[in-house]
Amino acid sequence: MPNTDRATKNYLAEIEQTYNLIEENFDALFEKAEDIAERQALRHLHSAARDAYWGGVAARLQDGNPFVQEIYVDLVRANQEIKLLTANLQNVGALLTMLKQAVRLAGSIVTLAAL
Amino acid sequence: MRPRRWWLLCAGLWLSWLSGCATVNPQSTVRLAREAQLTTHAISESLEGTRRVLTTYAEGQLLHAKLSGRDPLAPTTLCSIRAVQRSLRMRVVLLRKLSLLYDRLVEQAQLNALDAEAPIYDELLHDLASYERLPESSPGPTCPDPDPQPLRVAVPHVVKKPPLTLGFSRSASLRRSSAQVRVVLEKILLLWQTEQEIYLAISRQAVQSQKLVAKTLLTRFGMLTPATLFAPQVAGLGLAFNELAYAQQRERLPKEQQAALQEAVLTALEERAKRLIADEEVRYVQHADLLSELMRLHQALELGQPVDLRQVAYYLVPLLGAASQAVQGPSAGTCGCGCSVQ
Repeated sequence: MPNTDRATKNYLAEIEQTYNLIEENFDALFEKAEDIAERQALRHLHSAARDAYWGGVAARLQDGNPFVQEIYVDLVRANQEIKLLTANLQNVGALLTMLKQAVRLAGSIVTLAAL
Repeated sequence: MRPRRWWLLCAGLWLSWLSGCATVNPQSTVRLAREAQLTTHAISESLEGTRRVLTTYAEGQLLHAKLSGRDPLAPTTLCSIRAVQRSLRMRVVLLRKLSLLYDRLVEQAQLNALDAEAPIYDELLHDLASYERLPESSPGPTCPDPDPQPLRVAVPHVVKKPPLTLGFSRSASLRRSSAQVRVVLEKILLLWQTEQEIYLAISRQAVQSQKLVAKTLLTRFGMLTPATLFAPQVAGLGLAFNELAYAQQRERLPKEQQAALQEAVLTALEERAKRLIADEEVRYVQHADLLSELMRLHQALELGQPVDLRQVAYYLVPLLGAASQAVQGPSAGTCGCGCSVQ
């Protein structure tokens, strides 16, 4: 049987983590971005992460789908990677790629796990 | 052995008869109902506060977009926020109906209402059943939906003359109504516990957003003064933070002192934001504790036991203070994290 409480807590917490990581590092990344394209990509990622987060809050989530659980595990891993990369902000390109992956995963969880 | 068994059987029957016939104290019923109404008021104010803070969040995101180069809120995001606000409003309406149900209980205890049947009870159960089917958050022609209709005003009922047999049946009637309220409380508590994490997530984001706007105003535009932060540090010693002097002196300070001052304010900002979130977390837990305590007191009332409201008061006093603060909002010119706009 789907466990809505636990899913809401775990999935939402991880989606929130992705959003917070982009939000808190946005200014630093914006400054470090090498060109307009990177800045634009960062803006879009921030907006998409925020959208995924509020979508997750608005729709209650459930964890009945084992595939969603797999995506959740990937998102946890991606968030850990992002934390490591944001520690020194050496490689903005790699960080943006990892952020893109995390936002995709967050969006997938919201879509697939929403009631 | 047989007489002993008979004795035990009789004792059991007597005890079950006694518990079924326990007298429900009308005065205790009224006192419990009044405290419960204060509880529902505190909880609904807290939810209203969370709903309002979302408007501040949306505005904050708009302002921050212009200040920091972020994209403004997308229509889909705005729609999700609207859906969350709408859901919160529905919960507030539900709690107000619970308060009306308590009004009914008070009337019954004071002999103004004779029947235990209250339409508001059926309405509440219906609302609770439809709780799970909250408005869709996906954008479309119905997004944003209008807010739910305001609470219907209950039609004042005609007070009938109490029959002679009322004294005999009032206790049973009160017991039945109290049990009905307890069922509603149980359902609300379950929903509260399920959604607590979502309310907290909303509050966290609201504080986070305020903190980021404050940080941007401070570090990029120099538009905040730390007056509100420093005032309590010097006020106890009879001194006051002079904002004018601060504005004049700030530019003359050496770079490292300016940086140190900014760092100090940023640290305080972080700490205040953390504390605000922690306070909010505690408040949500207290709401759940209060609802549990009310359920326990209803049970005691139904069994004819004394109703001790001290525990409710213990939780309620700080919550009511927080609720009135939420209604008034932060003082003019200050942000939630303790700085004032210059």
